[in-house]
Amino acid sequence: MNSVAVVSNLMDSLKYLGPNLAMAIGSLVLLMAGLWIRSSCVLTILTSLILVTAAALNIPNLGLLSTQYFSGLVYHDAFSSFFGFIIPFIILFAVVMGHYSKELLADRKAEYMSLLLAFGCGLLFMSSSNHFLMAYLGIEMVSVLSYALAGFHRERQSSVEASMKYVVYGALATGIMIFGMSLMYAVSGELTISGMRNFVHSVPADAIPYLFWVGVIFSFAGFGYKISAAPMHMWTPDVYEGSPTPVAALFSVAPKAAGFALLIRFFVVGLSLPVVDQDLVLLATKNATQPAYLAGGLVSWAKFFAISSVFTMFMGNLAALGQTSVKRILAYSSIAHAGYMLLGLTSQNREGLSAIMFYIVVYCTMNLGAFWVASLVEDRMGGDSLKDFKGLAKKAPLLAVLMAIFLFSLVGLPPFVGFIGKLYLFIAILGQKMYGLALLAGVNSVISLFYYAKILKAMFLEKVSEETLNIQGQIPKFILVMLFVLAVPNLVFGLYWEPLMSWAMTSLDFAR
Amino acid sequence: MNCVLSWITFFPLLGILAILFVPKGKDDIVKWISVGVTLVPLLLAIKLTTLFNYSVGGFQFVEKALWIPSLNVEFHMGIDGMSFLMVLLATLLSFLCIFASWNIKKQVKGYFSMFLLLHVGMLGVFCALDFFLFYVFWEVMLLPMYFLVGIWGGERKEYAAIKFFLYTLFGSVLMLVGLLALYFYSTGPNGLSPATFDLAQLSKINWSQYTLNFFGMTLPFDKAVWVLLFMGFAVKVPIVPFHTWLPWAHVQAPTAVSVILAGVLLKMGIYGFLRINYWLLPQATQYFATTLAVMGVINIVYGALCAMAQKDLKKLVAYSSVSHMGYCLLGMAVFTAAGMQGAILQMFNHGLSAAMMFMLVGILYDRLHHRAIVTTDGKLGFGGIAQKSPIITAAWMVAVFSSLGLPGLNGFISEAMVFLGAFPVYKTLTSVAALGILLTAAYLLWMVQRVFLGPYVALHKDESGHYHPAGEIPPIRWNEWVVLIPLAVLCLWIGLFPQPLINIFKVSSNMITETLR
Repeated sequence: MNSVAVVSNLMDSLKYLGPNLAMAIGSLVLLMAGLWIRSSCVLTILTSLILVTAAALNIPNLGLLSTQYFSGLVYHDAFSSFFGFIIPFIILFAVVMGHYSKELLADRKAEYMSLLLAFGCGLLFMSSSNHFLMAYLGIEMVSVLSYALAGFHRERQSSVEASMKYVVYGALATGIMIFGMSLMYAVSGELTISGMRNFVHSVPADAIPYLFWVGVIFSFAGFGYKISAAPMHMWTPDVYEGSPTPVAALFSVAPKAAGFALLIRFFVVGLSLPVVDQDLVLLATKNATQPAYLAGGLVSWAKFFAISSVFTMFMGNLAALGQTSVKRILAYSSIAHAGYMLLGLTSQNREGLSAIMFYIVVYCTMNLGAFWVASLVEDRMGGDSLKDFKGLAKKAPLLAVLMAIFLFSLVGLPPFVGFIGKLYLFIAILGQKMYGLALLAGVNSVISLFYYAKILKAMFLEKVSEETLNIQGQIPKFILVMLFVLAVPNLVFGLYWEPLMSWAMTSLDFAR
Repeated sequence: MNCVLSWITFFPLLGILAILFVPKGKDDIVKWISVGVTLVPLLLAIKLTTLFNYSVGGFQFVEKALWIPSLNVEFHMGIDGMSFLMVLLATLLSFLCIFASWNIKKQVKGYFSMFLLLHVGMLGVFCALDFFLFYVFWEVMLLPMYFLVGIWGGERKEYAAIKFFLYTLFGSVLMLVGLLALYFYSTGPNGLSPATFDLAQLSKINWSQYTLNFFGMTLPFDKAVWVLLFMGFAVKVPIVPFHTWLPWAHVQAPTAVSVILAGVLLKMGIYGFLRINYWLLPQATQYFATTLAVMGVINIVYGALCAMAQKDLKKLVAYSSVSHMGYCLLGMAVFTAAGMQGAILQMFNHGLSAAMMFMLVGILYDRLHHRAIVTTDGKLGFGGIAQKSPIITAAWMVAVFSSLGLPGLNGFISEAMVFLGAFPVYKTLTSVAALGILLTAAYLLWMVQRVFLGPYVALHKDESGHYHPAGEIPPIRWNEWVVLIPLAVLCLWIGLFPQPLINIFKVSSNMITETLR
């Protein structure tokens, strides 16, 4: 089964590591540059160049065969390249957002950007790790930097509090994950995802003790924490609310993307959920001694993910209903969206996985946009509650229209791309005839409309009694351009999404 | 005349584009652009009446192109007689509603762009022959409606807008599940043919052979999907337990939006039933026929009783819409040629008379700033308008008598056809429904008596909310004439010579009946 090439030589391995290296070196460069360069503008341009380079460094690797390098610690395959492309761009938006944000003090911009680059490096490792140790290091690298970023506004009590909460939850979740992994190791004697694959392929289901599956579920705690799946979601609203808004925007998309990458790899490659074509063939020709991965052991993974997904959706959406802070609304909505994305794992087929990857990309565009508008409003109105959004359509019509596009996309209304994202997730689960699940997900979309509409209502419907100040004029033109860059795919992919979908489909090629 | 349906549907998008570039303050230009871009689809639709082949039942002016190959989604448009009738109605009302919106003052550019976007959604629904495309257009309408009611509406506009939005989205999410279920089963039991959203191909499949597992229950596939789709359309019609958004949305919406809501959007529910449920799932439709007929009768009687209890003129008209949509449901539930034709004609007729009534409510509101038939302190809000304004009264009479089915006006024709078709099938139900005619006459005539007849005691509401005796009532303005005259002429014309209009949809209506009998 394990036909993939393993590169052990250090120098040969390095050529796969281009993007990660670019980010890591870039992070150091910025730390140094910050000592001399005070201009946030120059720093932003420098960081952006590094990020674009990091993304571009994926290109020479595209032609290379799928491999495990560094003696099987890290993967290189189409799947990791997919995230290798999108993660630098997510960071790029966070960098630009930070450059303009008034929440981040001017003399700390270099630190901020340096942290972001290191953060990005961690994300890349998360999305390509094979070894449990590497996965743990990736998660921790991201987490530790997240704690620093959440508490970046250290003079503000809420920021420090956010950081502290994040630390406590993070320590607990990764602790449980490590414990789970150690249980898995105790049973199988394997520490790599590909090794786990060999294990479940070679040992019959009833020969694997319960302990192994308990370990798997414990490991899910760690991934679930990163993607903020219920019940590991509690930190999300508080951290998003306390963190500087550009950081919250980043948290709502980037760890989610990398977390899903790791989650998918762990379950699909490691536990061999029958989602790849060859496995389906195997499934069709069931032999007498069923290997463990077909039986799934104790746990029906479809049910496991279905329950987790429904629970996460309802937790996110119901909790969002009562919120008045837009950042908190968006935080709960990001929990709900993690729930939608988990639907893709429920279906356990290629359609489901590609739907998740498609959704991650489109979710990034809409959520980054929504957070950015929230950040702009917060900077200018002094708060992010619904009443600060009141009459935004008068004060900054363009901003309000852009926000409306992002929100409608988040609801999942055609012709915006959020609808297409949800459509593919629905198609995946309905292809498996899970009608009840699809109905529950649909009901959740309707619930979510209610709180998104509260923002719309504040922006468009409510009258502003006081003198309407025009804040659109204060917003730098470049921000508007960047917001357009986020808004245009929401419309264009909503009408023609074939290229994006086929990219997600072809990226479902795992090295095993 | 290639792509004529695309031109009809998408032409107003050009108008939105043009409106974006109109400098601030030039509201008249915005309005005239809107007139222009809605006039073109109307003229094209009228031109189609000469090109349309009335003797065949299939789809005409078909446009087909692959849109998303991986899902087999097609851009597939075409019209048969029934959808052609709806296209005529929608283009006409869209055009007239631009004039009905002439006195919009607030955010004129936004209003007219949203209105034109609504036009795209409406026409798209009537022309789409691919279920996915249909769904996209169906949802596209929600967005402008939310803003039109929410921004330009009355005092409780926010509540009305979100209620409309939530109800409709709930219905359409269920519809989405239903449509995806159809899509997946369309590959056949061995998954040989590619899955499709094409309505014509979906209609060829015998859906009753499948079953569907829902939380451990095994349900017959076609009936389960029928119910899912039904929910989507029932909210739009609206069928009685799902109707509570309607009085809110109608009453709070600005005049022109009420006109479009009653005139076109409600018909979309009925059109959806006929196009999707009836065509794709005929066996389930037969199974649910009696249910549908009972619901129709409940709509007729309950709507009429509610209308009778209203003290707000616009709410009365709104409930009368609920009641009148019941006739459509009854007519189409009996599967007789007359019943079906009556139901389709009733869609068109109610489109005219409800549009006219809402327009006239708007005209009275403009002049007296209230809609209370009876004010909170028990005085007549309008009493004796006929004394001062015979022209408005005359227009009202046309709308009222068309609505209550006076012979010689359009309402009579369709209601008579519905009853003729329904009576042989459901004798008791039809008799109960006939009670609805009596109730309709009662609430409308009672309204006429309290609003138009008697001594002139009409009140005017000032900004602080107090009522004062109204003075002279300003005459009808030119833009109001433009709306009222075509509607009144059509009401009279269809009442006297319905045959040309029936000929448009007769063949396709009979085809629907044939497949179900």
